[in-house]
Amino acid sequence: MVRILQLFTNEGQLVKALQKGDPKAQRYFYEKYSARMLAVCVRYLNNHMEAEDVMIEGFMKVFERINQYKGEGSFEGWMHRLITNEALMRLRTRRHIEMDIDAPEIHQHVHVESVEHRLEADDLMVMLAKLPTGYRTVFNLYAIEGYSHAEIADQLGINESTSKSQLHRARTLLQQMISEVEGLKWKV
Amino acid sequence: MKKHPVDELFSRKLRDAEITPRDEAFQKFQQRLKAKERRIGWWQKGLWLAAAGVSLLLIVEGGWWLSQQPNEINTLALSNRSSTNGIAPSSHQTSEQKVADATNELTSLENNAQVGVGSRTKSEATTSSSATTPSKHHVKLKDAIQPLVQETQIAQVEVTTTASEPQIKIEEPTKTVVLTNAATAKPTEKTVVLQLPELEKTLVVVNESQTTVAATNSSMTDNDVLNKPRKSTRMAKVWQQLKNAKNGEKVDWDEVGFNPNKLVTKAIGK
Repeated sequence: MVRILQLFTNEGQLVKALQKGDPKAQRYFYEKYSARMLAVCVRYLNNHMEAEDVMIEGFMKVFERINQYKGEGSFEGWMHRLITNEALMRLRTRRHIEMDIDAPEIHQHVHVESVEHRLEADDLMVMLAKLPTGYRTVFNLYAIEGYSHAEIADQLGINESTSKSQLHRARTLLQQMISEVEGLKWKV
Repeated sequence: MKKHPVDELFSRKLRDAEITPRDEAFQKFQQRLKAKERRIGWWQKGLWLAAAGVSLLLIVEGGWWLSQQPNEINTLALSNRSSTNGIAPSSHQTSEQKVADATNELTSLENNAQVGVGSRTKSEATTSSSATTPSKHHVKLKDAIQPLVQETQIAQVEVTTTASEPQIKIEEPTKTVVLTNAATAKPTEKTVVLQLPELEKTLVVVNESQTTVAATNSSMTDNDVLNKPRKSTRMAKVWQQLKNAKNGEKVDWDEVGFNPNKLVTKAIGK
């Protein structure tokens, strides 16, 4: 593994090796990005095994379209978008994206800044997993990936207003969950 | 634009989050890579591989074509050989023997025709029927003192036999020459081909001489007459009879063509 890491010291060398179909580069690519990309897939799909399948499919897409990468922007950002699209495609094919418009309004205000140092990534992943698929998808795209509402609407085939309402409801639910966790932790 | 605190919290904590995949995921990844390599045909792996395949195919075809060329020549040669060998060995041998016999006979004919009377002993020594040369013919005429009618009959018979036999013998060598030329070009066969026209000429000469002899019904006994040219034979005969009359010897007026005694008797009778 050390030897493989020494072969590809920067992103450009890795891309060139992947463009040549180098098996070592492909293995290095898996070793370097699989954990991070699996986390992305889990955020969208809420299922570890299915997320692994989507991650592998996304990696195959990366290898197939590696020649389309012209060096504009970061390679990881380009790859991240491919993996995200693969996850969204899986959600679309399984009709997992159901926009819940009847979610309850939460009026409780939570001071997130005061509790964030006590929450770990695993805790936040559990909170995201509890969100409905539509909420979670829009929140992931907007809050974490940095998509605009227009882009989300284009990707999911919904209106921008629907995307905004879904994001708002997702935030409210997450705040509620954070307050509950904060209360439990304070009790402990 | 300031981000929402919830968005900020989740973005900062989860953007670089990592979840280690299971070992099964890596095995599945390897299987997918192998399946992809299998799906990708050799023509998709690169133009170099495709070009190498095409060039290898061309080389193989070229080699096969080149290997076929000598085989075709060999097969042609073998077919020729087989065609020649397809003839029964006995017939082939007989044809060769015929060629040899024909060449011997033709050479003997040619020699006899060229030598003429000088090779009388040689022509008499030959046992083949082709030895019927003018010299032999004249020898027979000289030895046998017979009536003119019978002699002419003998001459005609001999002429017919000599005219018929060489024709047969000429046909046989031509056939054998064609066969031998098709089979193998040997120098001996070339000599046979060169001899054929000369033989025909000699045969024609023999026939002419024999026919002239038969037509004149002459009874030439002197060897000098034979040595003279054929066109002056009648004049030679007349000259010989005049010489005989001058020397007081018996004169054969039939040889001259007219008898003065008969002319005198006819004149007296009138």
